[in-house]
Amino acid sequence: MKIKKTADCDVLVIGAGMAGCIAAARASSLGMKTIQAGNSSSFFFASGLFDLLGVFPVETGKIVDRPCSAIAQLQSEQRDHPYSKTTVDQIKEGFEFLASFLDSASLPYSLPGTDNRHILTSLGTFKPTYMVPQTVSKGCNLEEKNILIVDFKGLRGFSAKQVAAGLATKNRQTQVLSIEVPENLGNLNPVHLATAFEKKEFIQHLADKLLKFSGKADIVGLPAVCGIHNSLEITESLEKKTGMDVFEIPGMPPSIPGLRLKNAFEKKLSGLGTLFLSNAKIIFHAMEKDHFILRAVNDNFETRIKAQGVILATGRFPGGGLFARRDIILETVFDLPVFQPETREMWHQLNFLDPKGHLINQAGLETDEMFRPLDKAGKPAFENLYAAGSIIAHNDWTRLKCGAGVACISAYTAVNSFYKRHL
Amino acid sequence: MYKTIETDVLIIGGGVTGTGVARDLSLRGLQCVLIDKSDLNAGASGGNHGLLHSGARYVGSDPKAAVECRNELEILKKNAGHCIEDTGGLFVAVKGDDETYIADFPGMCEKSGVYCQKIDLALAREMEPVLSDDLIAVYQVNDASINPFKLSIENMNDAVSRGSQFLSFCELIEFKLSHKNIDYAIIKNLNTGESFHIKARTHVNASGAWAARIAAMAGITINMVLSKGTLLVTSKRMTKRVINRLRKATDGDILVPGGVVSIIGTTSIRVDSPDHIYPTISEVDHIINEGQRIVPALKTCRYIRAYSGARPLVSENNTTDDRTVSRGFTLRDHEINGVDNFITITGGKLSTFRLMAEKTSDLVCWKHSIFSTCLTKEIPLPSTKTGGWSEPGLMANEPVMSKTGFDPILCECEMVPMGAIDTLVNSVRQNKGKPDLISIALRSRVGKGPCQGAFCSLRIFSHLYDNNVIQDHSDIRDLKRFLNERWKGERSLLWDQALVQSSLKEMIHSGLFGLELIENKQ
Amino acid sequence: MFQTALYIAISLSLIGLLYQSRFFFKENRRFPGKKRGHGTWQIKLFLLNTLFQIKLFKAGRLRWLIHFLVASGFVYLLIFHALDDVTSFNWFQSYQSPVDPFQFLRNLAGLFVLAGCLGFLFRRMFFFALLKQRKIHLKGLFTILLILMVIVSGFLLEAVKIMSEPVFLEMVEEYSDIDETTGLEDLKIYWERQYHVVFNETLLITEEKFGAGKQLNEKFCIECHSPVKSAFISRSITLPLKKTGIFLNRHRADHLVYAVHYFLSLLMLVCLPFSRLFHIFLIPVASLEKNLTKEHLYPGPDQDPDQIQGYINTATVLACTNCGFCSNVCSVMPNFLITKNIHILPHAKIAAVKQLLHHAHLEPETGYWLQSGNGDCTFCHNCADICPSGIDLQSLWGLLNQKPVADGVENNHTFIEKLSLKQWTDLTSGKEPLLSAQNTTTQLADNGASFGNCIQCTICTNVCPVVEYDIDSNDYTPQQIMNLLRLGKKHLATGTRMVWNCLTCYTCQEYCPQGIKIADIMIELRNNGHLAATAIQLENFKKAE
Repeated sequence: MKIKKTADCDVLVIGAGMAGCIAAARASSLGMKTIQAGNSSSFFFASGLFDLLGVFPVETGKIVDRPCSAIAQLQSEQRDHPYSKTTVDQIKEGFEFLASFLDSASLPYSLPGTDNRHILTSLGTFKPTYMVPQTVSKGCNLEEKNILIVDFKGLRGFSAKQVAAGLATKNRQTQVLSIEVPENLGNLNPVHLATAFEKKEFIQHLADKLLKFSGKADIVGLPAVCGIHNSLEITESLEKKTGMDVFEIPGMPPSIPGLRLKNAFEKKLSGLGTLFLSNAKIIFHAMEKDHFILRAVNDNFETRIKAQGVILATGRFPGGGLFARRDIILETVFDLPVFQPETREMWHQLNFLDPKGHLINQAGLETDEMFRPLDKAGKPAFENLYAAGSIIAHNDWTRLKCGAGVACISAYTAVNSFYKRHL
Repeated sequence: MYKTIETDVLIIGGGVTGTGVARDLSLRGLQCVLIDKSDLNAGASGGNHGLLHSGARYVGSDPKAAVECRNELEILKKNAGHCIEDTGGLFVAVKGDDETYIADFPGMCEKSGVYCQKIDLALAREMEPVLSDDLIAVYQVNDASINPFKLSIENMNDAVSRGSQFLSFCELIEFKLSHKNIDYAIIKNLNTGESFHIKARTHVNASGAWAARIAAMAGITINMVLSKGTLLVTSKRMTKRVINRLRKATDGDILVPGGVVSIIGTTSIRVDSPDHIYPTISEVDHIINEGQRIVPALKTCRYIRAYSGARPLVSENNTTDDRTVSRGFTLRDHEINGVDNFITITGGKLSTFRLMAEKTSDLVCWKHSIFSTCLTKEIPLPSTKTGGWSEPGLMANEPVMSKTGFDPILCECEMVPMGAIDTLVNSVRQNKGKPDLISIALRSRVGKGPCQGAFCSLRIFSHLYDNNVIQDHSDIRDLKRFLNERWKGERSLLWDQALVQSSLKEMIHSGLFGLELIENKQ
Repeated sequence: MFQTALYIAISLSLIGLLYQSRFFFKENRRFPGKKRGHGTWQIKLFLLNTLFQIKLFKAGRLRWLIHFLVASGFVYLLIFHALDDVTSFNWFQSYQSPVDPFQFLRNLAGLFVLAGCLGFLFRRMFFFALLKQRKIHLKGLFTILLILMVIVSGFLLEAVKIMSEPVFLEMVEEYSDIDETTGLEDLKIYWERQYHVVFNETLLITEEKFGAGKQLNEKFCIECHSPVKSAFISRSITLPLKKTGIFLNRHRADHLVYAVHYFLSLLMLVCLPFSRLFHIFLIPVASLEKNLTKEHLYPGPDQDPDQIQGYINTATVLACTNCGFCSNVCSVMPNFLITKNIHILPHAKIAAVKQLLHHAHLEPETGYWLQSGNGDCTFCHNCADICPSGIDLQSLWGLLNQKPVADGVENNHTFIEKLSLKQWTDLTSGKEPLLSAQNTTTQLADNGASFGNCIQCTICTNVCPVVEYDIDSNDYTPQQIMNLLRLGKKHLATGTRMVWNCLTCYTCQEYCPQGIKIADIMIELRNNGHLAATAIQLENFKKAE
């Protein structure tokens, strides 16, 4: 027997991933009554790095150094790309909003300049990205430094030697250190290790081990597990104790920087009065005059929601925003028309890591400049329905490295547009 | 100066036939060197249904093959029980199937001495609840499920324990012929790039679909027809028994349980080369449409993998229907072609590999003037630890801790621990192979679970660095190759949950790590 | 005659009381755990429960009210009416049975008992308890009807006496000198009107005569006869009976009804040790009885359980009135709903102990179920707290644990934990019916769709507090449990530490990006394991017998 509730709001955000949370953040910051429904565990797959534009054009695999100028080129060549519906200044403003929001949630990010950063990953590759957490930022500049990479025995998927091999390609001489976590005999899960980092005894134990290298290394790279709540304080404490700079190296999921983002959003949004309906599935009921009537259903509750505006940030296939049958791709909440390749044969290339990317990644919702999804006739499907994030068509974020940028600008613009038109 | 390996017999091709010959000859006291340009079961032996035929499928079209299957089934069940699950089988007809064939079926089985027993429809549905409601006839047969990887591994392990050798990633470059004999063979190690010679008394071409190519190196022409068959793997096992469609053999007819999954197939499409074949989307749809007629759940269940294998068929005539080319095997003594110490064994089917190996070994011994009898009927195939890692869920049976107390699980889907990976690395090294993700995956369940290598590849990869098995950053191409290997099987069935899983993989390996930006140059 | 009958009844009753109390003395039928010694008499409980039925008051106000009506009315009538020769006549100078307040109080007390009995009957007809058994039902019914008949006959007796002309005449003869000439008719007229006597003649009523009668009444009668309206029940009964009054008087109904009333009371006395009325003695005894203290119930690691000094007289279990409150509040009722082992519930355990007392042994399987069911007891004290009879059930269950009636029966969790995972897997391999999902509240673990969408992200494992605590990583993580199910190894999963250590905090289920009901599945697997362990233990138990 489900408990029945009702709730009214100015804006309902469907989705609690990156785009959904940015939308809810903007809406709440503007003072709008906001309800958000979804599951925010997708943050565990987020590296914590915010991409703007990393590779363009993808066919040649050219790595972008100055994203803003590359965007200008992108806008002229790819008219359908979400970036082409807005301006570079707007995009920058969106990122500034995001940075200040996270800063107010005690998760400081390094403010971006004109150039992309190249961040060392656990695989030993370098990822071009725009905005990074402060705990990662010191690793941006490794020129002429003596580097020490540390791994933890049992933390699977992170090998100091592997990272060192990657650094070797840039002719950096690196030392490695493998640390045993006291009492741990088997699998060391990232979240549990990150929790250990929050204990003073653990930091001291770690610092003692690192001190042996303090003469030989200038900077220490650790896997990105330096605490869940106070990561910057923890890394700074380590720096003080060892006299070396410390930076984090992002790796495979579950991602602790992602978890920090999740926590930051949840806490701050809750403080701003956003009602969060955890794990609630949204069912569109009907339009009533000019507002939406929807039902939010989870295992225990059913909430009838009356919303003036809706932001659809339900993601792609993992998020459940798009669903692929054998023959067609569907949008799962409003059954909006989905731009997609004609047949399944065209969805994917023969090569998994084809630099061109897979055509299916371009599938999604087509929108107007306010990011309202279009119907079959090319008009906005609903007056006050907006789309944000990876559900939007015409951008393969995995190849372009523009995921966070698209999420940010679409959510930001959508909420701003709604706000302007309604108040 | 080139290194030369001397041996009694050089076997080319590491499938079930080649490894079967290696074992048979080793049991008779001959030393063999088996080479393959890839790893074990790289051809049809690694792309089949895993079905041990009772013979019932061939009673109409190929009674001789039916009898062979029937006989071999009993021998294999007795001697290689650890590679086999004696599941039993059903032949099932639904509304619209050829009633004449159904009527003739029991008679044809009897003629070939193949056991079949009519089953009441309601009982059949009790036995296998997933069967369609549209059943019109059901017969019970003795089909079984076999693990061809374990088979080849154990064949080879036994042969090696008797003094033979297995060299993976060694490709035959040239035969040096003189006086109606092959003098020696020039081999290239594809991992190290070095060339060496193998000098053998007799040469066995057991390269399956590549047989024509290998024979051509000795100046011999074999007319072959290569027929690609595609199969799909479900995420969860659907039936206890093998389910066959009771009709003249065609596509999407057979559903075979394989440990914790089920395999549905197959198709038959002519291809020119056994290299670079992959499942197509139209094949996948075709198989599902056919298969769901006997088991409706096949329409909606989750698939985790599709793969293709090329059947080596030797044709004497030009024919367009590959199914009418004999499925019987071809054993050719190339003395008639002017090369005395060269034999080709090809064609046939998985179920009759032992018989093929026996006949081949008989011929080899005759050429060596050795009087010996085949011992593979009497002596059971030993089961070794390394062979065990190919068995699904093996690790799950035992507590996770190894003796040292530190043994993290690296492949979560299939619960393969670090210790097992180390064992497999050693095993590959012993066979002078290069331990990498692909060779490890071949010998275990790594990457065969739902994540299809998304997570385990990274965990194992970093472990290989920790253990200094890999040291160079350029070895990251191995990761790409591994992922592409997996991709071959995923690409054609990426919808619903499989697409979700694959998208996640792409998010990590492309979105975060940018693997596509790393060049593929060798 | 009446006196003889009384003495016989008293003797019989006393013999009966002693016989029924035999269990309190018989050594060999007592539950093991026999050493006398420390423990405290529960004086406070004894007083409060006996006098005010305090435990019943806490358990159910309405039931208490019904009881209280019957008990208080009954006690009053017993002391002040039945034994009035010994009590009321001696204690109150002005006492006569038709005198107020005694007449009124007697009627009121009778009304209490009547109302209470009707309440009992009404409840029995419309509210069926969990444990309705025919024998118990009839026994209780008999007692209620007996009391009811005593009361009704009492009211009837008073009514008949009120109307009785012969009694009137006898009274006039004995206590006055009035005769026909000296105003008998006046008195009759007064008494007919005011006291509802039915005379076998038609009297001419005039105001003058009425007044004269009144004066006579005041002179001779009123001292011992309060206005009859205070006998409000009996008097009301006379109204419908008036028509038959002459008939009744002629046949001296008052003698008849008196005999009935008297002998019914004696019957009640004799039946007392064998009927539900025995609880009048049993409950105070149970409430008073010494109980095991905590130290005795849970001996420390250095103590020898055989040296338990505490004392619990298991015969107190006889005070059980089958009210069913204990099972209603049992904390492990959900266990019963899953495993269907009725001997998890206190009322069934009580029944088994009673059987043990009466017959000194149990059916072998009952012994198993009793011991197994007692293994589920969490010692929460709910049943002991609520038991209106004041039985210390908790001590009883503690004793059962330490001195089992069936050997080798373990708490299922302990049983599984003692086996290695391989042993458990071997035991449950191929025994699918043992692990059937039919008895669990969910059927997720057998349904591939429940866990088939797992994307192997390990988020559940990362947020699990049990995994965090499991530093040795010697166990399976939540994600691995889902994989075990996918690999067809549900039976193995049911024996893992993870499944039994799961706190059901639901963090995993809350975080799972694919919406898999991980915690629900854990609970279901634990229930499956529980069911399988029960069946396996029963099999072992039967083999050992």
